[in-house]
Amino acid sequence: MSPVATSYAEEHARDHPRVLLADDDQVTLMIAGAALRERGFVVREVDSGSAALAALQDGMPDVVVLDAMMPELDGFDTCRSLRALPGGEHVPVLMLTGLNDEASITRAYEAGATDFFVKTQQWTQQWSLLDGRLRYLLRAARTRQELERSKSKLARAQDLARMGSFDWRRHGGLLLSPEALRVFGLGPGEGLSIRGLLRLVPAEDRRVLMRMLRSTLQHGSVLTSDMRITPHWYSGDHVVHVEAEPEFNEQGQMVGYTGVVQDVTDRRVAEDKIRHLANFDALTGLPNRRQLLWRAERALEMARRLGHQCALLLIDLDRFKIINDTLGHQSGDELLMEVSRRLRGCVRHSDQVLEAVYEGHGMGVRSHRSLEAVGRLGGDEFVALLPEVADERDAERVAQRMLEVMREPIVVAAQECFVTASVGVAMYPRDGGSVADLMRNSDVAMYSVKATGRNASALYGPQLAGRGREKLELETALHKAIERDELVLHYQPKIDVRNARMIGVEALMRWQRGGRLVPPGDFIPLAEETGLIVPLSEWALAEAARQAKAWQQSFGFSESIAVNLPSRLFERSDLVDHIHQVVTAHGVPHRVIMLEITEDNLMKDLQNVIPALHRLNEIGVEIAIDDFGTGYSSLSYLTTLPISELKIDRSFVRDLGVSPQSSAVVTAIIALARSLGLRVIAEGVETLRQMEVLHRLGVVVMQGFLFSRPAAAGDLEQWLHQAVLARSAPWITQAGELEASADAVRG
Amino acid sequence: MKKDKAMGFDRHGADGPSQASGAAWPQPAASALPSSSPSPSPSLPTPLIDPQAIERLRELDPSGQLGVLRRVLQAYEASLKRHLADIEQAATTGDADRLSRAAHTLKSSSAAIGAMDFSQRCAELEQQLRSQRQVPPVAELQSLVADGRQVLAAVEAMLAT
Repeated sequence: MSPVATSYAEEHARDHPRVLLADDDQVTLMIAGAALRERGFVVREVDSGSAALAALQDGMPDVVVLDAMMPELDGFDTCRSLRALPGGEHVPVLMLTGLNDEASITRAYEAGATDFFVKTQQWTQQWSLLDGRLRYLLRAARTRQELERSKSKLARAQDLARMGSFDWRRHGGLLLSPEALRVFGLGPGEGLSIRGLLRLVPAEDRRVLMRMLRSTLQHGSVLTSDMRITPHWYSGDHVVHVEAEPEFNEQGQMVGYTGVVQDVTDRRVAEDKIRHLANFDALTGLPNRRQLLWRAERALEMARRLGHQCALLLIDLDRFKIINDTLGHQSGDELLMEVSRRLRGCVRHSDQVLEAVYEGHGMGVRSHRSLEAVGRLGGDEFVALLPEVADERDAERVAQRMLEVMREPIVVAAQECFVTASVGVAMYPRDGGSVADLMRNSDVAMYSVKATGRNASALYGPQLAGRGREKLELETALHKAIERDELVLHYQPKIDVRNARMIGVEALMRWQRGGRLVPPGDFIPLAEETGLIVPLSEWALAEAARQAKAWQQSFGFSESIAVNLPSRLFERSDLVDHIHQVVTAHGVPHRVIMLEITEDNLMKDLQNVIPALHRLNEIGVEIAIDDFGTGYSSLSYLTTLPISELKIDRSFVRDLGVSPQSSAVVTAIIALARSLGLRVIAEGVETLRQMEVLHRLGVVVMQGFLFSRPAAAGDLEQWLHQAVLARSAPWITQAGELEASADAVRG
Repeated sequence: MKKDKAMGFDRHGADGPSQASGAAWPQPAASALPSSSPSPSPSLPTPLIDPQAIERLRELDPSGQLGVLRRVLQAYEASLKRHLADIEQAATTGDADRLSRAAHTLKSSSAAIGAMDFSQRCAELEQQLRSQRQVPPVAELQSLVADGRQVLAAVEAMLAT
């Protein structure tokens, strides 16, 4: 039934109550019936007690009016029988009695009548009196009914909430409602004394509970407590919440308590689960950042108070992303779980959820030991908190142990993985007075490990403080630049000015970090310093080969792309193999790759580099010497080196026409190159004047802003079409004239 | 208000000098007497059936569609006839219970249709029977039956119209 229908039905019943009217006198019956009907009642008239009882079989009316004096079954007997009928115990009954007939009134109540109404001589002319009385009875009955309903609702609600009420009298003991007994797993008939209740409480909690109860009684204070019970008829612990208020007599003495008990086991389990989720990492089960920072705060407090040292170790896995990317996240997760297991074995790890509990109860002096743990900050970053160490050697020993446990391969996805880590250590109070300071400084120390080759640990120290956070960040970001595809090659053409032809390009690395392009000067030195230059260069070689192929297909590109390499790459035995691999992979000839090495670099490691140069030369890869003229070249060696090209340093080009020495150097270089059979290229050509001078001195291949800035591959192609093939650029006209005059001179 | 009572009040008020101030009695009743003394007619017969009671019965069925008044009067007529016969018979047999039931019923129903005097006599009889458990003298009962027959005649007259 819909609520609307219910309320309508109720409203109708309220306005039109059903009344059963019994009187043996036809006249009275008829008049009373008409009068009540006229006042909105729905009336059923019967002329005897037995007829009334028969009528009740059809359903209970809202109210019954019985004449007391009726032949045979009188009103009293009728009322008594009515009360015995099912559903008849609560229907209001109004007994009509004679004037001044107190005996009848008493008898009426004894028979179970709800109320009486005296029939005066005028009663049939004063219907409002009867009407009012009946309405009052109905209202009282409804209130009673509502009370009954809410009482049963309460019982049901208590039952659902696994809650029940109890009452305890100082001189009378404990009384539990059936619902309360159920909370303790007892049936309605069973009883439970205070003593019996205490027996349900585990021995270890009992003393605390009794002390608490005694103190509550003593002060007559409100009782609110959770207690653990372990009745043998339950499996496992149950938690019962008790809440009670004291009651006092007129003298102000506490006479008892009244309250409720509730089985809150489910809630407690849920709370514990929530607490665990909030404090522990779902994947590894280790304390999470929140929990770890909380522990670190407590550990520092204790260390401050007790005057000992703490250590914070930051552990970051090396190249975890590569594992994740190649084996998949599932395997990455498995690996993290295994790493977690090993790391926690390195400390006296405590899994306890530590929160407010820790502060409240007096824990021993050494209680801070329970703070010790390995936690996961997120990703592949872990932290170990050592709440008390004698000195930094203690912390270093733990760090070493961590590196050692990682040596054993980890099998994930049926593959053996070798994982290393970089560990940074910061000590309290030496390296910081707050958790934030210690976190930052262990971070700095950890990055210093990353920068110097990983798989090691480092203590924070003032020498690291000099390394700006910015630089460290840059370094980390550069680490990930390759993985994130943030690197690009830009290309600058090499132009033969005699015929305005592009005879090759030089590849220059750019880093798209965030929205901006980081110039090579800002990251190449750092990459060289940290060794990152190796993977960067390897990437550049592969990318150049790929681009050469793309251009070949696009516009028949068959010249070379020059890639800058540091000398340390030439020292690597696998450089030749690597180049062979990348050109083969893209289906381009070896000569498409040209390598540039700076004069400084070459001279620094000459002996180590020479073998590689020979082998590269053998497979067709040409070598150019960059920034030529600035170093201290041992010119005699040049004659023996397999070199194809000298690039005149931009500083000489810039000063051409400014300082006479510049043109002298350029002239000398050209002479040297000619004698050795090498090509000469001038770099940094920015003006037509420079071009003209260089050309006059005998340089025909040039590179510089005059022709084109380094440009993205697509832009370069466009430039080629618009400026060179269309012969529209100003330098082309100029170059043409120069060539004509040179021909004239030669001719 | 009954005539004899009014007269007694009248008498009492005239004799008692202490009542001249009229402090203990409602002023309107006392002051109404001198002006009404010429008009009240002690000889005017009290109607057997109070017209106001009939009017109230009519109000229970304002439109008259249900015929309540007529049905009530018919029921009363039947009841009265039956119970008058019972009283006559009881007078001869001395059946106190039967007499008591008749008095009880007629007390209520007569009051309901406005036969107040007759109702009052029935009430007195019922009370007498309850307290003394003794059937009154035949003459007294015959007088009651006579009163009842007058009421019956009045009812029949009303039904005839």
